[in-house]
Amino acid sequence: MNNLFILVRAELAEALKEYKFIWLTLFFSTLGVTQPLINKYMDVILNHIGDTAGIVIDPNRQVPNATDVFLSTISGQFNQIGLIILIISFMGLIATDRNSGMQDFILTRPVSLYSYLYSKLIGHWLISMFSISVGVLVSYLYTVYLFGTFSFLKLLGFLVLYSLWILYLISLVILISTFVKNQILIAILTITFAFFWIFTKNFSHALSQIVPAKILTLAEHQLLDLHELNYVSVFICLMLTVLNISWAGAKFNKF
Amino acid sequence: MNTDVTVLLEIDWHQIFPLILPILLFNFLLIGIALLDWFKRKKHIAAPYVWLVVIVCMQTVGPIAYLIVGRRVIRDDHN
Repeated sequence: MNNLFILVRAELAEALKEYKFIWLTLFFSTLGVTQPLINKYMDVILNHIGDTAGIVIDPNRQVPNATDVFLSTISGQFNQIGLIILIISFMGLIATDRNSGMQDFILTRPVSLYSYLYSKLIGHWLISMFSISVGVLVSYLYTVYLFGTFSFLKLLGFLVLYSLWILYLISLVILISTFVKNQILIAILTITFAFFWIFTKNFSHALSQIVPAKILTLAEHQLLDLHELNYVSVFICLMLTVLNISWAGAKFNKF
Repeated sequence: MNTDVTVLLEIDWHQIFPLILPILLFNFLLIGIALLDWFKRKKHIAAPYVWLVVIVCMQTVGPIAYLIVGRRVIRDDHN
């Protein structure tokens, strides 16, 4: 347990030295600010920038409320370009250690393999959740300022469930890192898998129950006024995360 | 592509400016961090001036690409 704590702290110190906290936070804040502004000023932008002869925006269209705008920020920005950049920033998390020999150095000490893998998981989860939380908070302030208010408690519920999805993603990167050596390939495979899960979560009702991305639906439902939410996907997501790490550990032990 | 610049003058900048200010600020901060790091590592990384152009000219993506990839690719001194 003590080893795990030390390794997590080393991970965070490394991220701090690489300015990862700062630029990832800036990136997610930019994403969070952009979407509400685009939603608010769409007609101004279209009028002034594009060749808009003949294009009319329906003057009677429904004005989106704050929750809709926030959800479009999440599904349109954070889950697409945000997810890609996040995974690209994680692609070296095992591979760099292996290439520099740091992995052999750590694993020949009295450190268990699982505390090494879990330190990677927890360390990168803390880094990404710090950045995403700041980004979501900035987005929340903008959305509330431009479109009207929604409950902050709901936002916290959303953030907690969303963090589980990020946890699953990092475990996926760790698992794929044990099979593939090339960093770029790791990133591409993980992004493909992540988008595949996001795609299948709306595919069929029965299948979507066991898909890890189902937790995104649950997280988004936190913001809407829905009852009878199905919390099974929390357990499924956590279980798959632990399963990924165990599989990665078993693969490591074979060498 | 629409190259008529006069429409930009018609936008009510006073109304929009405080709202887009954070985007500009975040962008410049990102470029600043990347430049700071580039300046420290100029002697060690491969193709430093290519990365300088990438950082300065490409919005948002450039600095991030440098911070993820560029700073890790070290120049090979044997060649």
